[in-house]
Amino acid sequence: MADRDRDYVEFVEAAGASLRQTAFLICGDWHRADDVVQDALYKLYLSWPKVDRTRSPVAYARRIVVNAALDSGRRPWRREVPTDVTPERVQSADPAIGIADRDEVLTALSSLGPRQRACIVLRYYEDLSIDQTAEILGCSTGTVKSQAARALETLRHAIDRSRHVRRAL
Amino acid sequence: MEDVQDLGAELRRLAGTDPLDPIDSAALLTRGRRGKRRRRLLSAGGVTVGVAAVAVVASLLPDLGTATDGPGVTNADTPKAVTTTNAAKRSFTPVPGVPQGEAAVGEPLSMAEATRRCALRYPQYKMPLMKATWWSGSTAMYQRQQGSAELCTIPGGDKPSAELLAAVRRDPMPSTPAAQLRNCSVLFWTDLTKWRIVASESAPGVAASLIAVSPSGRKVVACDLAPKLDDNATPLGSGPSIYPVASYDVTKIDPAFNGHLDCPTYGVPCKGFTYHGQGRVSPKVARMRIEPTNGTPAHDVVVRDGWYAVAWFAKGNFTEWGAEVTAYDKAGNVLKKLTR
Repeated sequence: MADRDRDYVEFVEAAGASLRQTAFLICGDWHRADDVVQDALYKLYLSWPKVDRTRSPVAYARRIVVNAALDSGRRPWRREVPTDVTPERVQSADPAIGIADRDEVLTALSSLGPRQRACIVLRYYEDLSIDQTAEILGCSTGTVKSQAARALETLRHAIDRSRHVRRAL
Repeated sequence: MEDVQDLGAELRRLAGTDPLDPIDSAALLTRGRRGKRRRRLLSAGGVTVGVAAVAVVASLLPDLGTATDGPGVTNADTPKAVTTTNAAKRSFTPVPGVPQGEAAVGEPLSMAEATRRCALRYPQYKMPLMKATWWSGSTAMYQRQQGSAELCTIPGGDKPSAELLAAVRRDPMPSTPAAQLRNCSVLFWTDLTKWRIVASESAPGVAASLIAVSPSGRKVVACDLAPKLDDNATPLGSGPSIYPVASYDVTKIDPAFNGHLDCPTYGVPCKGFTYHGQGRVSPKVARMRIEPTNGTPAHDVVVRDGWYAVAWFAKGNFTEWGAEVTAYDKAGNVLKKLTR
């Protein structure tokens, strides 16, 4: 195997799972996250020689994944359901769906707009700085701060409301 | 929720619930190598074309137009609808159990039906499809196994005849709307010859991108054409599909463009770059300008009622490449700027 291919395979095996986790937190669905990451890693392979490996291919790949995850929620992807058409619910034994149905944090995350969600994930899951987050999302640091603040407020209310409802039952 | 530390812990807990198998690096490598080969096939006369998908995000939308290359925006006549002829009808045969025409595509399918249709079109592939809600006219992936990178463009109800297939192989990138719709019909196994192209652009001999609306106005096809006929509808990468027109979100005024500027070769310097794709944006947008950051002349894309299509590449050696995409309204005011 050429050095290039060997490096790429090592990268995928080291970072693939983590990238898929980030994609999942942004798009809320494991299969879609897998689709996003597979496609991002494919694009990464095509661009591998130009990726600046003196920094980190993870940062490069993360950027592709975040943008693709945001994009997967906004236009019909290969297997995405358009937002204004509700197909018949597909019965699935996928445990992730069951988890999403009853997980208050995931439900609260889904109440955020896509970019707010991405902001939260990059800041508090990936632990990126405001500057790093702004660079990935293509916005100003001020926008990151305001989006994160609004998102935290929304999450706080949503989770507290969910806990209040459960206590009342 | 106490504070952000709690939130971080919760996010890590959620991330730890991944139920899927590990990513198959070998299959990705095979797919990547295949993609590299496909790119090489698109090279012609020293000019290299890469795979770049433009996914457009923006609220807004609606009208057809044709974009042309070069700086400055030029208006083109809206292509007229192509009428069906008896010859077109003879070019297709029914697919068992699938309605013909528009009714068969842009609709959700059960796994069983998606699997059945893929088996009809790709009998050589024995792997199961990935579990998902598949739509007719979209391109599905098979479950990844060692070396597996095959795709299934889920067919409609119009199987192209051998004669039609031969005609498309001889002329994979035609210039007339009628022939383009003919070729797209072959890619999607759907008679698109009566559909109306609302936006299109060609990089002659290299790539073509078009978007067309069905006779009822309810469905839209995003179609790419490449110099060599592929066995699925994504010769230049993901994006092409058939879906409901209503799936575009036109309620928000938020023109955010997700585009991929792609380097078609490897190593430094990059030999040319591409921008490619089609979609629908806000009706406020009249023009999109793609400006490479290295000083290469910009490329303008006409947008009419939100519809646009881009197939553009720039020759040359670039030690760095990137672009700004700017959306303008009719008065020339900037609506949105993005960096790619």
